Amino acid sequence: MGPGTVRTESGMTLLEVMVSTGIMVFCLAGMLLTYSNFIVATDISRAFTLANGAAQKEIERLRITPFSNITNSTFIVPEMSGFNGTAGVTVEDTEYSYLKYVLVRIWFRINNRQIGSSAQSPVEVATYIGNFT
Amino acid sequence: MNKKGSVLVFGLIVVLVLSILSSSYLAKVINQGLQTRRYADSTQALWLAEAGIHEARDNNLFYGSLGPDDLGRGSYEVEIGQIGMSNYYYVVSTGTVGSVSRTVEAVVSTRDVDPTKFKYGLESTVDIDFKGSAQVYGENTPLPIPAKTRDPEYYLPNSTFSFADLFCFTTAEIKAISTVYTGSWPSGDISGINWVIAPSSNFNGNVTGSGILIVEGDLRVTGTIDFDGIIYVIGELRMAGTANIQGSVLAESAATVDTTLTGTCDIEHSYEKIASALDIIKYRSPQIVSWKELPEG
Repeated sequence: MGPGTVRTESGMTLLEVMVSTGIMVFCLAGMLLTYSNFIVATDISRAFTLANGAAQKEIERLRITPFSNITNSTFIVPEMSGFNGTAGVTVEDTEYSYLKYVLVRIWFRINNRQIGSSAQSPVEVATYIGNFT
Repeated sequence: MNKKGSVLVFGLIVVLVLSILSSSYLAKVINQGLQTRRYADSTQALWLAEAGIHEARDNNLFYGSLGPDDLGRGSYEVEIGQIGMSNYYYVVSTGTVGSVSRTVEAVVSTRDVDPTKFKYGLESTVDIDFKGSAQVYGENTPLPIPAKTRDPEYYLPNSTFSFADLFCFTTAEIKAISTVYTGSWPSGDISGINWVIAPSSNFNGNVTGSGILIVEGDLRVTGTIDFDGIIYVIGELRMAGTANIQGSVLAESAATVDTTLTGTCDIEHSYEKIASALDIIKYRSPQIVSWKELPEG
């Protein structure tokens, strides 16, 4: 800068740039973390929807199964293969000889997190199935 | 041009825009989660309502209400009533899980059993041979009824009839709701619906009772039968013992051997006893003829 030249304050100090960058990195990191959680949440929703559909489908299948063939079972849910989905059917006699209590329970895994088990699950459908005879 | 602090301002604007986008996405994800939960509750509520329909239908409940009864993660309650004076009944069942309720209405009908289809005290698909002091009569038979009365108004040989038409149930359906005796004759009280797969031996025991007795195979009676209701034999019928029957006896025989009544065999045709017997099956296994889900509220 030569003599007579007026020195201006235009531009940024190193400190300004570092603070700005720091804030942005911090915010973006938080957002990335949030987005990854969003993706997991979306996966969970999808898995729950699939599990509900599978439980409903199994109940429908049992309704057209001969009454005496409605028994306990456990099987892999094909449409939930990506979630290691498993279905358990629990059948109990009722006080009425022509009526069975049927509980279909689905359990699965999302990102190494186990949702439900054969003993309890957030996705279960209970109903009575009667003998159509 | 003064650019002092523009990076910070620009950065904050970017962060603000991203925050707004994130917020809307967050709202979407939260809403999606709630919808998923509601869908699960709604599915369970529907099946609870179905459970109520099944409980009412399969236990022959035609009046009044059920519940609320807990089942699974929720409960259900049912209202049942007759539609006019018909054999149709409505069943309205509501399943509830949390704040979600679903209601279904089914119309069920009982079997249209008709006692007047049993017109005779004794009806057979083959010839009927009366011997001894066997007698058949009914309410129109003039009193006093003399011994060996064989009123032709109350017996019909060489008839054609169908099990399903008479009972409005198939043989398999009736068998499924019967007490089944396989290869042995019952004894004592046999009230209700009884299905006997006849052994090769004669029946020489002693039974009393009322209702419906179906014999699959030949029935050759040398014992004692005291029965009110309907006896239906899918085979050869020979009565040589002591029989006192009020109602109707039918023999559906593929053989050419006559239906034979001998010994002390007294058959009185009675619509009252026939109707009482049919009442036992009339309300069994009603059929769902319509089903619809009712809107909320």
